[in-house]
Amino acid sequence: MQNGVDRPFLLDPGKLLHAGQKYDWEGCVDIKPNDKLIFTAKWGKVWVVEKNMVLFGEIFVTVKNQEGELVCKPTITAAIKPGGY
Amino acid sequence: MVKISDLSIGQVIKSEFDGITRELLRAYAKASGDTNPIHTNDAIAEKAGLKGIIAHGLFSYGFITKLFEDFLEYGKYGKLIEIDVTMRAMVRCGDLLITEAKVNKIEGKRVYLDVIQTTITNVDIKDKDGNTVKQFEAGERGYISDKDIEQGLVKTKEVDEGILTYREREATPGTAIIELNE
Repeated sequence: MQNGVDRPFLLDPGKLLHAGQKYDWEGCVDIKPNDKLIFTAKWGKVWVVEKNMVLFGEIFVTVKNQEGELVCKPTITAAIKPGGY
Repeated sequence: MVKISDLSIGQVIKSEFDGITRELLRAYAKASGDTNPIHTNDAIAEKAGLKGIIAHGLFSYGFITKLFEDFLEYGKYGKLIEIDVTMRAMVRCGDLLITEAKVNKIEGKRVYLDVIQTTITNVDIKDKDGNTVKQFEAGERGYISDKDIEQGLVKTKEVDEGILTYREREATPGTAIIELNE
């Protein structure tokens, strides 16, 4: 919500950049053919670099198979340039 | 065969890829599901202030994964535990993408590596009189910035046709951990 009005967080997908990626497979099982993968994600730290006003955000993802076993723990860092948020 | 006893601190594994094209990025977009048009449509990328399409971050990242999977022969000699990188600079069509991993610590069967991806972006080739013999996409679209020049990233070297101007830039620094079987 901005100035009392609901609006999308991402205003221009063209301003969205992939700024970092971590894949953590510690304690994870392999993905097998026909597995069903379930993704859950939650926001981590969100910050703005004042020098260029680029907005960064961390997204913590958990990927499990149909048995509930972890297959990967990715962390995504997204960046949105000015005008995109 | 790759064994822990064969590795040493400072050892480097490396790969190079010079086949980044619009066709390949379109195919990657289709395969990955990341259809953001800044990776496939120059007009939209220009509107977004990018001067032309850029490669998907995970497209470049895939070459880091491939470096380790090739090294470990797809699980035969060990497995990947973690890769963690920052995507600092854009990778574009025509770039030579160099992926390197340097061993910085070995603990038990685990190997800790520093990862870096570097791009070589050709700009143009000039003859000895300064006439442009060949211009590459980076020259045509103005990918090289004043900041690149200030930071000393723009270099020249002699090639058969004249003097090649190119930019050498670190695109993707980070770390990785692999675990060997023995």
